[in-house]
Amino acid sequence: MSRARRTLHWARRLVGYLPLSWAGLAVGLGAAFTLSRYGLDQADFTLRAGCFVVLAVLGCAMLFVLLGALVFNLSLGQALKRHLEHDLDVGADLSTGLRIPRFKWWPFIDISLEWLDPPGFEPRLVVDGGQYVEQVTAVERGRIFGITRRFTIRDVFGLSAFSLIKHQTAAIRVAPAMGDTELAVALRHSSGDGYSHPSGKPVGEMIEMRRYSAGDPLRFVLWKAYARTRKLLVRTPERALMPQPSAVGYFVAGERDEPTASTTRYFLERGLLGQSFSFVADGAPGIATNTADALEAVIDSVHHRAHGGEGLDRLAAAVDPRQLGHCVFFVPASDGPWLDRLAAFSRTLPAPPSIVLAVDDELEPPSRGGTRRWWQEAPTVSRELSKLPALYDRLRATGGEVRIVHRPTGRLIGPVELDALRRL
Amino acid sequence: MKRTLRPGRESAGIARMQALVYGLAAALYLARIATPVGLAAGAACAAIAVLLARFMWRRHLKVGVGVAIAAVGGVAATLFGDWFLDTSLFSSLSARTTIVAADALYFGLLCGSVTFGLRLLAAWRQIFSVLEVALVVGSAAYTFLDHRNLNIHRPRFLADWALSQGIDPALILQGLGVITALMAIVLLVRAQRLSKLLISLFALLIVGGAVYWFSKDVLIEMEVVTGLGLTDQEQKDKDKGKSEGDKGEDGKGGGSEKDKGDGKGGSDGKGGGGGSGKNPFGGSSQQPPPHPVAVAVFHDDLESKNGILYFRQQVLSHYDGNHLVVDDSGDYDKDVLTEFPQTQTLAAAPVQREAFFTRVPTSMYLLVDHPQPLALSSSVQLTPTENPNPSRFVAAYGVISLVLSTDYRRLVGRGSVDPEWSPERVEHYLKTPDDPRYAALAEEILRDIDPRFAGDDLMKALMIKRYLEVEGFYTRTVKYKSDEDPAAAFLFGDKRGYCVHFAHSAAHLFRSQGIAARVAIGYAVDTNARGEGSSVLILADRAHAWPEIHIAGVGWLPFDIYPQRSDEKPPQLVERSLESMLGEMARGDKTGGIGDGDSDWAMPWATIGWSILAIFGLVLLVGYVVRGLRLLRPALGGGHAAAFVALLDGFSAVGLQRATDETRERHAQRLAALVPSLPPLTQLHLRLALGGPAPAELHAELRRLCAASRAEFRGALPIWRRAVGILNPYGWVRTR
Repeated sequence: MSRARRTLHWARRLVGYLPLSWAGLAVGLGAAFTLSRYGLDQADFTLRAGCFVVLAVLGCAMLFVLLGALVFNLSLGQALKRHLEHDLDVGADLSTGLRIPRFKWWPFIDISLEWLDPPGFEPRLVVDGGQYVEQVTAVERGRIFGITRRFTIRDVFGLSAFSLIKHQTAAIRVAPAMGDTELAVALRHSSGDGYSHPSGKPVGEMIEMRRYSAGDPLRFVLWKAYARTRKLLVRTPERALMPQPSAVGYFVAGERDEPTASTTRYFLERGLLGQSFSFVADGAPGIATNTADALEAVIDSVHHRAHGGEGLDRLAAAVDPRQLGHCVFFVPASDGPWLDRLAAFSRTLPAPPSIVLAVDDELEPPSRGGTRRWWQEAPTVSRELSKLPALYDRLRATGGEVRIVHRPTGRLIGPVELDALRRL
Repeated sequence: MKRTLRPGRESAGIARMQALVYGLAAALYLARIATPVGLAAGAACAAIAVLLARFMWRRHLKVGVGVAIAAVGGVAATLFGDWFLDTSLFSSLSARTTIVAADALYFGLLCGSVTFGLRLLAAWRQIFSVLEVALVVGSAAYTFLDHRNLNIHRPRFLADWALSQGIDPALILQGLGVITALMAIVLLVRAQRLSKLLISLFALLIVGGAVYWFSKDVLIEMEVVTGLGLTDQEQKDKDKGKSEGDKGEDGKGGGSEKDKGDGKGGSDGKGGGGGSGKNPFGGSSQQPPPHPVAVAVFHDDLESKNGILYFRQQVLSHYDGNHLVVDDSGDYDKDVLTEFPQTQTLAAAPVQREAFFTRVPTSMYLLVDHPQPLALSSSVQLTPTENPNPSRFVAAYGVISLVLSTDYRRLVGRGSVDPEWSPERVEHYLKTPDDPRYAALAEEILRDIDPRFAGDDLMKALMIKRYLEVEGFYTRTVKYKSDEDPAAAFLFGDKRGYCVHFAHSAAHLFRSQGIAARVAIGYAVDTNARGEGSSVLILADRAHAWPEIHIAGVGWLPFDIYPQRSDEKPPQLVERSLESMLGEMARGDKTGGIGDGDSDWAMPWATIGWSILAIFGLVLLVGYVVRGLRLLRPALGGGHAAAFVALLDGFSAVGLQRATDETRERHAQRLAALVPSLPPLTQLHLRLALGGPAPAELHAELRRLCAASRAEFRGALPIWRRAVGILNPYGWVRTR
């Protein structure tokens, strides 16, 4: 490292210890300049007093922030020495048990918290009496062995801020969120194509009936029965007598795979892969044959996103070739090298595989018609969904049958929606 | 898809406060330049623009578009303002109405646009709030900027009022500065919990009060540049430069650190000499700004013979091989007092013969630090006096000066060098550069002298003075600083220079002819450029250097050169009102001569305090009355809703009110652990409220549940919390 870089590095570190924000620095420099140039040199009483006040407030803010940081550091005590162990699902709230002072009666200062490591957690401070209690929501699966938190004590004017970085050992297992009940409806709509029911293949005539549930096509409603009983009933296909053959599942890790991980968990826990399935996830050392092991493999796959699909060859070698006729691939909703690997592997399969992916993004961006698009900020809608049609086309090109699940609504994204997305 | 509002950076309450701050800032700024209608329009539009900016920000207005709108608004303000004046569309309006309407249109649009753009930027990035703070503080500073540079008689509307009440205008100005800064800081506040905000604002007030309290009596040490190194600041700068550079040129060095707060004035007297060994030929080419530096109050009438009053600070008599510097041996110039009187009277050596002089008693009040005392030339006695206003005057002391009362013509025939002087003293005052041209030029000048006065030193001096006045050209544009002998470069060059060149050249020419001479430095006040009163305001631009010659048996006399040609602008007239005001203040009149002098006005803190207390009491009373009425409503036949609301008021008083977006049922469930009867009571209330007419027994049941809930509530809360609830006058405001 050159001397200049070393100097810059140390200067940055030094500035990091200064309890000043950029606004505080600007206010301080501006007040000092004005005080010198006008307050003192030109004996401007108004500016002199005003600048003294501004500098005094800045000084007080810095003092309180530093004092608050000191008190905060002392009050933490042994709290972060405790080993943290928890199991939770993505999206669920976790109270870590960390309690920190609120500084309720302190003027000027307030405190905020963020997790530097691991990423993908949204901590927040919830008021509980005179203290804050830390609550956190995980936004992606994984295993956490340590938490690095940054506590920032800042003043209410945004002039001064001081950060403390603290580490805590932990063993937190974050499982993918379980899909909601509407996902079941979405999958049932795919009946006739192999995934409508865990125990049978509903390929028969529409002779059975059940209570109407949200999402059922109206054309299957038995209106005569409704006229008689005032109950909505729908016709459903006759279930296959033969149980659905066990499938092979493979979870491809990659960017934006969290919704698919959630869907995978749904498949596993609802037995949609059959009674004796084989399951592999990227990065998993072996083949899982039960739900628990499969779920752990999905959780661990979060660390192998850069190597998505690299375990497909192992899958071919390890699984009974007869099972490969019912392959289900759970893939991320983003393009990547895994796509080529999947395409190559699909060509070796005896039957076209099923490919399942899930997305979370908004399907319908808010209307910004008229002049609004000129003056109004675009909503923070992920643009990733606009890439979905291209991904769909490439997946289709592998010869597999692609099913895209919109996780928030549980709906399957069909050709109509895909066409709409193409125009985004 | 429903689009949510963008979170505002501040709550509605804070936004209203900021609108008020912007409105006041706009009003302050426009007070100098706008008509009352224009001022009102500007202030109102600025306040509205704050709320509008918040509204648009929350509706996701693009920042760039907002700023563009603001810019367009600013341009439109200019165009429409002019258009309104020029157009014939409103020819039916009177001229006055047209001007007022144009003013309102212009300032309204301008203030609204600027505020709107700035507020949006500040909502986008907090760093832009710094601009807002600068804008608000700058508005106040602009309104009162006339008082800068110690012109405390301005702005008139403020200073006249304050002085007539016996209040130092500086106190008012500083108070305004404190208030403005506090208001400006409010613009930095972002969304906060109410309690935190109130505590912080309260702390802010304490900080502002403390700053005001500690700074109101602190003297402002204004940095005044005279170009001749007369002020303390200049001396320090010189000493600093000297310590870094040529230490050999040092005189005694250093000014004096005065004890400014003792009310006694004066100096500790450690200075003296003042380090004028620094090259004096290096002043600024600009005329110094006319900042007030001192006030002299004459105790007797004095009529200057030549219209100039010389206030001497120090003299340069020792030739150091390059130019004249302050003598640091202590053997010479004992007639010059170089120390401030601290506790006792200081007297100069009796060099001046009093028979030729008039004793003129004066009092000096320095507004700017000087390293040596400044006094009417020639001062023979300095007396410590009480500083009437330590926050205004740096030092105060009495002076007895000897002013020549004899006509110069009566001094003709006297030699310059006193026969009693020692050879060393003679050599000291006659030493000149080793340049034969001085003597040659002097002899050439004196070639035409009237033979009757051929041996007369005074006449010789007059001839030389006359020569320089005719041949010299006064200009600040030439320095000769880098020349080995700047005076020679001036004198034997094109004779273009300023007072230092003239004074040194004259002193060298005098000395070459055996006339004892030295250079005095101080201020020369033109009596034609001042008022008629007994006080003389000395301004920095009157800094001057002049030669003094010695006449045996008389003493040292100012012998100034007045060049006939000059490119210098004539000096500004002294502000007579400021001169007389400072003079009156120096005499101890707080009103500066504006009030009746006996006025002992003081801030009516007691009235203010009682008023605040009364308002506070009234607010409390209103709260309690409303609360009491709500509590009594069930007993006065208010129905089931009134009973339920009265119960909820109790919850709200201790902070257990229904949250926003919380249903009544959920609220009841939340408090069920505390008040088990609340859920059934809520159900019953909803049934009665929504279900139409109900039997009387349900109403009775509701009253029973209300009573039960109240009892449970009382039992569940600690005493202190109940007390807080009872005392809270405005808990009902949060009942929903």
